[in-house]
Amino acid sequence: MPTSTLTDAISQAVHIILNGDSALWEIIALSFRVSLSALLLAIIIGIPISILMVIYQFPGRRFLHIIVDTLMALPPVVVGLLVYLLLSRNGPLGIMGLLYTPTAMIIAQTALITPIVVALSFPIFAQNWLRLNEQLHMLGFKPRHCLRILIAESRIGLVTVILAAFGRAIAEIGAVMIVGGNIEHHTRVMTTAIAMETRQGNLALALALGIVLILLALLINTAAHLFTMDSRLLRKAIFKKEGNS
Amino acid sequence: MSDPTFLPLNLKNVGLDIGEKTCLSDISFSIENSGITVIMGSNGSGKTLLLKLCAGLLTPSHGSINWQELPQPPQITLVPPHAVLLNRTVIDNIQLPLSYHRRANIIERSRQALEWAGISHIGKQVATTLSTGQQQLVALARAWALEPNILLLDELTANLDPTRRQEIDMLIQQLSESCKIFISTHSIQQAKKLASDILLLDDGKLRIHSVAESFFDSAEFKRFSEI
Repeated sequence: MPTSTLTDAISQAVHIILNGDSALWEIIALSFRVSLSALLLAIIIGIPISILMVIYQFPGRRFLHIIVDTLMALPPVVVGLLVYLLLSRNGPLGIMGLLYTPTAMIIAQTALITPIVVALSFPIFAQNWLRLNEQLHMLGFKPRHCLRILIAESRIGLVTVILAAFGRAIAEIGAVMIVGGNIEHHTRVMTTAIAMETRQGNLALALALGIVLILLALLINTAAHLFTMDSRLLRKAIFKKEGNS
Repeated sequence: MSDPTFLPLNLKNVGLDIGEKTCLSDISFSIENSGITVIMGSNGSGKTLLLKLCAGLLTPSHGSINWQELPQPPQITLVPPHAVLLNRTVIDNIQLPLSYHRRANIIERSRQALEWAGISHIGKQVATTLSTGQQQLVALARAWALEPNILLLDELTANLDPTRRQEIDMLIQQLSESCKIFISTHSIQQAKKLASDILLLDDGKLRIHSVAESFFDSAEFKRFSEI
């Protein structure tokens, strides 16, 4: 690409972002709706599975670990293909008519990030459970209280897990392209739009969306970094400051 | 505090196997007095496992413990060598178990617990940011607030400086007036100071159960202190 084309594309992209292009914001809004819904479902499904795997020793626990790890490494296009087969007219859920809808994209992204939520939250819960289990038992807490305390004690690590899962969902293209179909005003999200606009030579809009994605990635990583900072040191610093003032 | 009358503890031929390893074997003793029972023994002799068995955290592979047969087991609290505290304020760490036990006057009780342990000034600090000694004091204050019948202390002062150790020993002595205490330690000095009776473990077996005064004059003690 000649330098002038690149600079033109960048300046146009910035113009599009700053002027609130309606097509751009529609795509961004749908991307967020799909990925946040998938994230919520992945948390609802994944966190209890992870806690069960930590607390209970049940037959097939190790096998479940292997399955989760395998699913985490599954290419998004394969997940997309499986969801496509499930939702296609001749598939078991074809009657619901969900293919090429945002719901299908939510299902695909949920399938993609739930193993991430399970696999990444497992060591956090396991570490805290190992530390707290006996003491909570000794202090007379009932199982439901123990569960609440375990989640509360794991909150900092869980924020990182949630941010990582959201990052994976929003940056995903293969699965949503297959089950969403990239239909304008209906299932077009940031990643599928970037691929299509680039192919069509509409670099400004593609770049504008790319900039939004990069900024989002920066935001997510900054948030994750802040949460994983040693909170003890942070708190010590705060208390020291309070003590001095 | 609870009634200082101590429910007798009887262990009959208690053994504990973990995997294929026999960690404790054929331990039998009966303790009927209140006061402080000190459990001594070298590393790996089974002190912590014995405390966990008494606490009900582990189930004996052989033999029986009379507490387990009771319809209403006594209120037991175990404080481990490294205090396990929640990532919350000191006062929250004391109040949370009290609230789950639906105790009355939680705020007043937790304030008294802080005062008793001499840590009122750190009540609003996050417990996990405190020094090891302060964390142990918080754990002890939390145990005090719960008013246990039996308090099990596992090498509570092992990682502390002499001043803090002395401070905690005084609190343990105060506590022993209102509940039965079992404490495991490597410190002969601490055992001499606190013990009303001694259990000496060696390689998972109970070598001696004796009244403190006679134990420190015995040949077994001399052999142990040489080790």
